Amino acid sequence: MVVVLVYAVEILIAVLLKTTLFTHLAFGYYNIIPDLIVMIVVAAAYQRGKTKGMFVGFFAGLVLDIASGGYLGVFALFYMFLGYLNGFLAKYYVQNDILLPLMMAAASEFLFAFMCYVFLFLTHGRTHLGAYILYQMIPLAIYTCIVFIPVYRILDLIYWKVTKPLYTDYSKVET
Amino acid sequence: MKERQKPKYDMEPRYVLLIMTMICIFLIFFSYKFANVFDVARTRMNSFLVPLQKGITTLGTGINNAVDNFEQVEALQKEIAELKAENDRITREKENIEQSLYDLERYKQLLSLADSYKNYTTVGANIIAKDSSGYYARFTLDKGYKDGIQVDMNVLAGAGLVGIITEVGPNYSIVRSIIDDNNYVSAIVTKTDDNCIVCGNLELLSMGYIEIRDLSINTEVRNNYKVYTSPLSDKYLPDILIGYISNIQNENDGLTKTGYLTPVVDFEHLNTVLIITDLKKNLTEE
Repeated sequence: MVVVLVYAVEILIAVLLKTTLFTHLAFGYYNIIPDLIVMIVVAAAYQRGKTKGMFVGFFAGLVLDIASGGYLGVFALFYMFLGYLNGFLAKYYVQNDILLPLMMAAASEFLFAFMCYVFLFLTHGRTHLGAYILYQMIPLAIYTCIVFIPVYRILDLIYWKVTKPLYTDYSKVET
Repeated sequence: MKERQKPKYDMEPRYVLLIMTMICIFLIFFSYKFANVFDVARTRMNSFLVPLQKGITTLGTGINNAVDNFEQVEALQKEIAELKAENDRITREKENIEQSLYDLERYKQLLSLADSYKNYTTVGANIIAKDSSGYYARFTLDKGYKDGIQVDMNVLAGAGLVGIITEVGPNYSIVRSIIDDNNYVSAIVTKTDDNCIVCGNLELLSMGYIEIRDLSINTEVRNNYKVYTSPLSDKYLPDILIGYISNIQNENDGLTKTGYLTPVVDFEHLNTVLIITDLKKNLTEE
């Protein structure tokens, strides 16, 4: 229960910050905004495995879908897949390790941007993949990485201080 | 068969993934097909999010303004001097224009022309959140149907078109701007009266442009011609300035010309907008 509550609050804060304060940090016209939700999904999947990463991704995506006014379930699907894929690396989880989650976040953000390109842009005839990789995906991945480092520290701290003791055995079983 | 006895959370992750994927596809299909059913849930959720977003945005702009104030004092003093000079010049021009307007009015009466410029009624609104995804150029305003806002109302900033309202809740509304990759506006070019389509293009945005297409190959459009919304459009009101043309070139099909358009609205620094409360369909019914 505590775990669910913690993730609900994390997702809510992420969506709120992404839509408001972080728009001040955006680069130019392109809306290169650090993606807090990818960070939360990566951290959750890395710490807790596939199933939980998947559920966190699903609900985070659903809130984002509702707030952004697109079709319901699109971002939910994308983030859910990210949660599942990142869950494969849960067995390598070590407390205070930053390098592996950082690489996971970069790859996830890139993959997320790519899925967005395929499903949201390619479907109405935008075929210049090169430009999207150069101006959207790579800057997005780099920016997310930079912000990921302090954010992951906080998320890892929350995991150990707030939610970990209740689920010690379970996390062993799952990995 | 024995797997059924296991508790639910021990299910193989890939089966969970499969089930959840199907749920997602189901959701996408239904929100596309039966948008009305989902609007209730969506409005509930957004009504909860909007006050929070409003608070954070107010705080953010407050801090931003405080920092800006320090930087800008000197620049502002210079600007005031410039503006005073400009004001004098404009006052003189205004007198000339008033004279011409009087003449125009007389000619119009002579020609018994209908008044083509309607005075639209507008409502101001603040932007409280920009697109949460980063892939739509949409933003949330702090006015909703309680303030008389409806879907398809046009949104302006300064003299230029910003976009159109696509979703309305009790205390918020969502605007899809003309720079959105999915947005198409039918438009008309001044001087030549050519019809064309203005559409957002994420690729060109880094250069500050959006796309203009479907211009006739025979057109004599030049750079810096103004582009207005067309009377043909069924959602956008006519005679609203969109931007200026640049970089016109022939399309490969040999039938049309395409080009870039510089929007008059500065989308990067947009905080407040005007909503026109007249709807196009009502105007045409009259």
